[in-house]
Amino acid sequence: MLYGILFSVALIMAYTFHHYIDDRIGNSLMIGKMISGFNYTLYTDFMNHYGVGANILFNQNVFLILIYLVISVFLMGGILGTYRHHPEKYESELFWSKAGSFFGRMLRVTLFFGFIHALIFFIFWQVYFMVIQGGSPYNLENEGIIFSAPKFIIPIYILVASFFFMWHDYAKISLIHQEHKWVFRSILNSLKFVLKNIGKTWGLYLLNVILIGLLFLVNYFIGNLFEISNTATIFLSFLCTQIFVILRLGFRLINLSSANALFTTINKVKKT
Amino acid sequence: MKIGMLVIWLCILPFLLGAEKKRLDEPLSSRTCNYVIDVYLDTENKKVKGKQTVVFSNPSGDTIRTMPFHLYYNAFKNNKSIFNTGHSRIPREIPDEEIEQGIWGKMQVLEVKDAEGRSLDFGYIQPDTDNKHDHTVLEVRLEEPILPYDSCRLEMEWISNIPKAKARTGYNREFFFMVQWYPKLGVYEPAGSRFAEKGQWNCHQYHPNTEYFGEFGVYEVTIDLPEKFKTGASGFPIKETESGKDRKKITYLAEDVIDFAWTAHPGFIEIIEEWNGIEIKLLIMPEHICNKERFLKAAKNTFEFFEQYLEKYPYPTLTIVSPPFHGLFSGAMEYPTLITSPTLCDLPAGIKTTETLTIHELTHQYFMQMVATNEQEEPWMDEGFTSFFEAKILDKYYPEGVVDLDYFDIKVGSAELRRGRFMSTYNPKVNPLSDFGFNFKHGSSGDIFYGKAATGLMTLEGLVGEEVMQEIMKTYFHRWKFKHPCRNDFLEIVDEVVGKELGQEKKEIANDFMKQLIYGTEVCDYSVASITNFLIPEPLGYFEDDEDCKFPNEEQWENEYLSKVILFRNEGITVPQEIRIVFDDGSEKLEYWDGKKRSYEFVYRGQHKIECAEIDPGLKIPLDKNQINNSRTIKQKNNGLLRATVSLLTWMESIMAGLGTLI
Repeated sequence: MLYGILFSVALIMAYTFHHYIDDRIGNSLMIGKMISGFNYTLYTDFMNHYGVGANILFNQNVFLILIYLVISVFLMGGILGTYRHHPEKYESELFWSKAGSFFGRMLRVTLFFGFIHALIFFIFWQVYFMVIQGGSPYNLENEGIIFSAPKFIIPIYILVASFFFMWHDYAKISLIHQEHKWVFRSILNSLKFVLKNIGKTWGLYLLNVILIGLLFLVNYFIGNLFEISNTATIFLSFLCTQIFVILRLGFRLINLSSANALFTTINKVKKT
Repeated sequence: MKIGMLVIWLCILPFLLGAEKKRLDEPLSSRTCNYVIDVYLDTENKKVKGKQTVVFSNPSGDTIRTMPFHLYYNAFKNNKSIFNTGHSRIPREIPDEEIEQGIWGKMQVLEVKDAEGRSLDFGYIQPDTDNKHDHTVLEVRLEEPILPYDSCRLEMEWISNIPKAKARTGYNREFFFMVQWYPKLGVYEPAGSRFAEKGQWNCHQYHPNTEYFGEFGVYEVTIDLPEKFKTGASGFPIKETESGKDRKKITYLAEDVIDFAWTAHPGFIEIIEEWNGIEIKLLIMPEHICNKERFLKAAKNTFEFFEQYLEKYPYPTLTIVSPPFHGLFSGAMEYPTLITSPTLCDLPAGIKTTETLTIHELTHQYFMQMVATNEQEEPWMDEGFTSFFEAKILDKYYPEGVVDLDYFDIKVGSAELRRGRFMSTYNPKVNPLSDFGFNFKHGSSGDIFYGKAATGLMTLEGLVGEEVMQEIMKTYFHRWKFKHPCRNDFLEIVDEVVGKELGQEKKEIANDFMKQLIYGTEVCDYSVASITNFLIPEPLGYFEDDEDCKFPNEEQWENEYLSKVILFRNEGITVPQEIRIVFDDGSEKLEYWDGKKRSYEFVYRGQHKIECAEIDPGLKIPLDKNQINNSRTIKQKNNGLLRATVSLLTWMESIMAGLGTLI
């Protein structure tokens, strides 16, 4: 379903784009140049003469992305509710009731962590900015630091950010399990849980991050295996990317379900 | 004492022998203005003390009573100079710290004497404006005028505060980039040369978005600086000696050049290679050494190209300066036999900035160093010509493109990049190319100097063909090398060569196009407005020549179509166009339209419908601002749009899946 929604939203964007291009320049032979990928002359001439419509489409797409994100927040309650109750068969009633009843709280958790993620990113950006002294030739002896600093800062950022993303996941799981009305209780409880079991929780999360990274690598190599030159290769490429998107979503669900399983197991052990 | 002398001689002998080999056998230019300069670089206080002897030969039958000198450093002397108050793409903010500390670059001429030893009167003048705060031109009033074809010798002494990291010149940390650093004589234009109706000095003030103009001569420059500094300069070193404690003196000789530039930094690594008798010296920082081959290969490719296209590079040396990051203010610039080409240590191989800058600046050795046009009055004649050749060289030697990003499927060639930048400029109609550079007051100057001119020259090449274009450029170069041409001289050669090679009609087309390009502000856009195919109905009923009524006869009647293509000229520039028309049986017709009227049509009657029509199928008119509307088809056979749609769909999916992580 997640894939279906994602695909449908992307399809709306692609359809309007297709319709606009077809309407404006569909009769031009230059369209043929798109078959081999990006064409700079086509791009500049298009943006210079028909770019107004493209800007409207861009704004519309931003809005559609926001809608998709809100839908994802809504679905999150259903997904985690299903994980928690673990029915033998999928129960749509359970899914939709949890999605509905947790929507407001999930949204608040998302907004809270949105702020946290932005803050972490901002802090790291500031650190980078200070290290490279604004990147100004007036301040730096050479530009080496501009390129070498990210080699250290990005891995540290990934490690630190992954902790907060993980906390975010456990906050949602905790919310579903403990059904607190006040989301900050779940956020605090999940932080305590994560810190108490840092080895297991973070270890599991990093393992999932590595798996996603590997997935990207495989996609990169497959993407470079063939050149798109006709309808058959367009569809082949489309198929590959759809499999990749499905796998990305799948990995995301595996990540959540494994975290949920860990949360349930540790809490069970504690109770016994 | 004798042994000491012998040791000194043994040390400098190889230097002298090497230098002797590099001297030109015969003068290449008129050597109208020759300099001998002694300069002392005070690296602690960032000052230069200099003495120069200038020998000027009057190239005209005029009597000359004054001599104007450019004092470019005075552009940075106060915040009221034209450079600091004018419009520009060059940032000219002065850091607060420098203002508080009173750090202003400036040049003060202390004394000027003539050959008789008389002190001469001098003062600042403002030939272009009434801005009295601008001290970038100094006029020396002679006691004795220079008689026709006579010469004059002046001795000058000056002192300068080197500006800190200003546009193209100055210092930062231990990097010194010394350009426009000495009192430089203007160019005397005899009546009839360039736009001069009577003999006159051409010596403009230093405007922000223009560059330089200089007279040909020989420079012998002795630089006294701390020993640890490594140097590069126009020309080549002819002597190096010690000069006091931890200092040295290096003398450079540059022959038949219009200017002299030099640089110094203790951290430079010096790499010397030879190509076809030319010594290429690369001064590069250790962190950039990984890009060494990119510079050298680009320089060799350029030399090879010009040797085949125009003429062998005539100078014995070329110095490429790859400035340190803290010296980026020097930009990518061109000076006689010395160019700067910045690079970055982790520049990806698919981004050809290093190659582009090296090729561009090296091409300037031909257009405005050898063919010494006036960059202040006609900036397009050097930047446009250089950009035209830059695109040719890059697209020949780097067919993969100047931007080649495999993962994103992005490949962009140099010519299309140059065209695209011009087409995307804020206002391509803001000034004609014929305007002086400093009259471009409302933006788009760079895109017009570089982009419009280069794309225009590519269009001229499309109109006359590659071979004739090469002949035009060759004739222009051979006739005007080591002289000062203007646009009229180039236009004359276009007429002459096109007339000779392609006849009167083509000559008029080329001439008409070049005039629109240079003097006009209009742009070019042609489009295929429509294609229609009408089925001609079978004749039915009574006709004059037949008493019988005609009835439908499906067996004998063959469908016939009246097909029409309508073309529009949407903008002001007119150029003749080729039009390819394809019929549904695959047959093609190549038609010609002089492009003058606002609309035009081609009509056909036959059994086949028109399937598509294309203006300029050979892409000979890159100046056409919208190539998308140059063609029209009844039925799109290609899946280009499908690919673009699928790409957008998958990109959007990726973005949303990525953002989903935040939920």
